[in-house]
Amino acid sequence: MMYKYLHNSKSSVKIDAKLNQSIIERLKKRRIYSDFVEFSSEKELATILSGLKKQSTNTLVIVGDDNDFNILIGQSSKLDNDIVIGYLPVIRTRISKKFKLNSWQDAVEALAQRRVKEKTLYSVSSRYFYDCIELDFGDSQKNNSLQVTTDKGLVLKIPNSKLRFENLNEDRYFYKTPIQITAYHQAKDKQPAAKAKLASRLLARLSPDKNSQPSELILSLHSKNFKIEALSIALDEVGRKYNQTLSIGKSTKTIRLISKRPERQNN
Amino acid sequence: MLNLNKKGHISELVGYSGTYIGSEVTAKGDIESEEDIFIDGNYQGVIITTGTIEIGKNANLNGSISARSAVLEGIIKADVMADDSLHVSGCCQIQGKIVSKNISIDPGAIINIRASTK
Repeated sequence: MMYKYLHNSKSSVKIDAKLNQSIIERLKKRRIYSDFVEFSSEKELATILSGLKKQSTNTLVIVGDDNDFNILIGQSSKLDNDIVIGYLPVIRTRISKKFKLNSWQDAVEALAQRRVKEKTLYSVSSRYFYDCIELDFGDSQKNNSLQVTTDKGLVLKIPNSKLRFENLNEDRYFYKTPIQITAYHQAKDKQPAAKAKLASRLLARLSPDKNSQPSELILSLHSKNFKIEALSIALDEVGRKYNQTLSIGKSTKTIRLISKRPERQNN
Repeated sequence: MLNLNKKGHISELVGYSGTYIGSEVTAKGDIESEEDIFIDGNYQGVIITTGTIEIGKNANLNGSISARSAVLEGIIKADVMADDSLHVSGCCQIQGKIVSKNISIDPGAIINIRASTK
């Protein structure tokens, strides 16, 4: 098996030499070949991905955090269907919790077990995302508004805000309307101490960015897909720009993901 | 009841996965759902849910509602059918037909309705 480990040098989580060495040693112990490659932009990542065939790499592992994972997923259109993707989170994140990876050691164990699951991706226009994307349409003070249309033809006008699209239900059971949209304002004022706890709990659920300010919800709704029409462009969590007219929903693109084997229950 | 702040936004939303249409939202169309629904904005259309519906005090609703139970505030011009219970609060202005097993109306509500119990 040819594994390639990708790390974003501009990632918000830095991997120091000691951690890097620990990961390499752990992989070696589990007899997994390790080839670490750094990238600093999506363009650079795309070049790496297009050269994979020549190197006969069949497994790509992203080392970092959820943003780094999402950057790789965003480029998955360049991947062959037989390439398997693994995730080695160096901090505990929303996706690592979803994958039941409590630590990077857990992730190494999952890579060693190599249990592969197929997963259908979601897309916003022609760009793929795993299960969640956040789009910032800018300041609501400018009186710009967004028009959101659901699959059942419900039309909503909302002020410019942050929109979060997330699949909350599919892993538990088949759900008729799998995507939840939440629209919220980023609060500018500092919250009083009593509210800070609430706000941080709210953020933990609504916003993956721990540094952002507390927010106020203005819309929560489920649909199979959404159409967004805006007067301004949107930016996602990693600063990618999106057009003013967007379609969000399940795509036909599938990826093969390494997931952790469920732990045996002792009776 | 949901906990709203001064602007009518949900302030305690942890774990909330129902449908929420806030006071700054204008919506037109139909909703068919199995979840609880809270509407606090301008809404025009038909709402059918097997859960609870709450119409907030900032809401302006025009259409019809069918739900398991309903709590009504705001300005409502609609026929409302609630299987279990229907409560019209004191700050509600409602015009239409209401049907439920249990109907309660707070003093102060402005009503122009035809009410019937199931």
